Amino acid sequence: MNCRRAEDMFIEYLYGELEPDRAELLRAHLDECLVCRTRLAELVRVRQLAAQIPDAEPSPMAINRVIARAREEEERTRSIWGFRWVKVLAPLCLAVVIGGLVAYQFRAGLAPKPMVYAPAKKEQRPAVQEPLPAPEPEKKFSPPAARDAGKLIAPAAPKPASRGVALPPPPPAEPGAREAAPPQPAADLAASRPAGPEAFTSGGGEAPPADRLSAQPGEAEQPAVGAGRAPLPAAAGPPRAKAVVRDKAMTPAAGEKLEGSIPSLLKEGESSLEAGRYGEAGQAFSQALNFLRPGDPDRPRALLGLARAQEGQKDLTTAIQTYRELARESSAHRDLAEQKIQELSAEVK
Amino acid sequence: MSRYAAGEEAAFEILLSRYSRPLYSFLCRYLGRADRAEDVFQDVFYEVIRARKSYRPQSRFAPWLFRIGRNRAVDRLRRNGLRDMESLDRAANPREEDADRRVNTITAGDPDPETLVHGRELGKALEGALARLPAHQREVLWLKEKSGLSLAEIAEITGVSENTVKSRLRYALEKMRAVLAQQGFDP
Repeated sequence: MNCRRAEDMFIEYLYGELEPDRAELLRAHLDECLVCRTRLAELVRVRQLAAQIPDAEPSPMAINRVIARAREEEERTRSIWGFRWVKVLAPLCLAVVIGGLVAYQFRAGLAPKPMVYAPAKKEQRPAVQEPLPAPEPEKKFSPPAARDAGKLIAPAAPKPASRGVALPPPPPAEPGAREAAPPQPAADLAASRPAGPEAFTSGGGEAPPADRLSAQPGEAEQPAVGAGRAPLPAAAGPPRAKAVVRDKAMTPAAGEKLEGSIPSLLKEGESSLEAGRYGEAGQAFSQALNFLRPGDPDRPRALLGLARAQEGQKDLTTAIQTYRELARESSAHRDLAEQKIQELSAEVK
Repeated sequence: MSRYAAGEEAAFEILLSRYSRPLYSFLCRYLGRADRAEDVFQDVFYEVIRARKSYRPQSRFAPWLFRIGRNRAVDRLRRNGLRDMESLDRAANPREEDADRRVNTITAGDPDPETLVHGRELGKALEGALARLPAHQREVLWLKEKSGLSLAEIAEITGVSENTVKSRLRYALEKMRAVLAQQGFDP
């Protein structure tokens, strides 16, 4: 190694950054070269002196300002993050709470349930509803008020099969009563009126006509044929009387209120229909139909609205049945109804 | 810095206590005026605070800090039009009133009056020798002696090759030796 190459290594050697093998070479040269050894010794001494030059210190004010800025920034970041979280979490929490409430109401049956009206089908009338002569003693125990007034017209449901005897037909209703409005035999009554689970369905119960609501809940819970009879199986017949009691909305007071609001129900149904909210429209028309007897001037309007709602919901079979009922009940709408029946039947096929 | 970037607030004060003196000294030498050095010093740490979320510990903190410091100092000099020889020569002695304090610091704890006088004189001679260095030599010498940066890191900060840094350092030390020898302090 010559002196020039050795001098090139001085700085790295001085600051301890020379690789060990090169450092070894330099040390070997320094052992032999007095000039390089002296030069390096001078640099070491100068370096030691230079290292003694003291650092300047920033003023405490400058340090404090920097620390204050760091804390400010930390606070700001924290508050920004907090705000962001609030912005995200607040609507989320609100949505969860509202969703939970709605789900709870639906599960608990507290929310108003959709009432779907469907016209009755004669062929669906359960065979067990064939009237049999009622035993005299049972008639004696039937609630006189309800029987005499013809207000409690729960369709007779069959007894459990084990009893082996079908229930007697309900007592004939008064001519003015809704169920008996078209003078028909009791056996046909259930067929002409919505009867059976698919007729008036409102989830937890069905909406009875207003005139039936005048029966006391206590009476309604009893079988029409009298006291002492075991509760009827729900599947065997429409549990109307029970529904009256179960559904608080169908208390007599509520029934009167609903009956008084038929025009508003119809308007509501029609506006829902126009807005394309067929579910709500069907519900409104179904509720109105619960209080509209055949022959009522508003009944065709409700039937037509319901049929359209069912059509809108693509429930074409039910819509056809509703149009049939409309055609049967209203001569003014017969042509329209028959045309729609034809169209929908073709569509179903 | 990684701890501070991770949200540990106390880590910032550790950084500040560790790097405030070397950085401020470097800025004083570079800018030549304590008030400007203090402004830039604060700006540098504000930048550290702002950049903590995006800090990636791929390299050491010190070179990153000094690179910010140097860039800010260059900006400041450009803005004030002060990058001339005069200001940089003054940079060796940013505050006259601090000179005695620095000299006293060199010999602090030495009670011998003769040594004290010698120390003061040596301190002044060192400051004078440093002031006579060209700015680019003074810069690398200060970064090497006071910042603990490697030659490669200094090369990266100053934007020159490592060999250039080595030669600048060697010339700086040789020139200081010559100036000190002229003033009677023969190393």
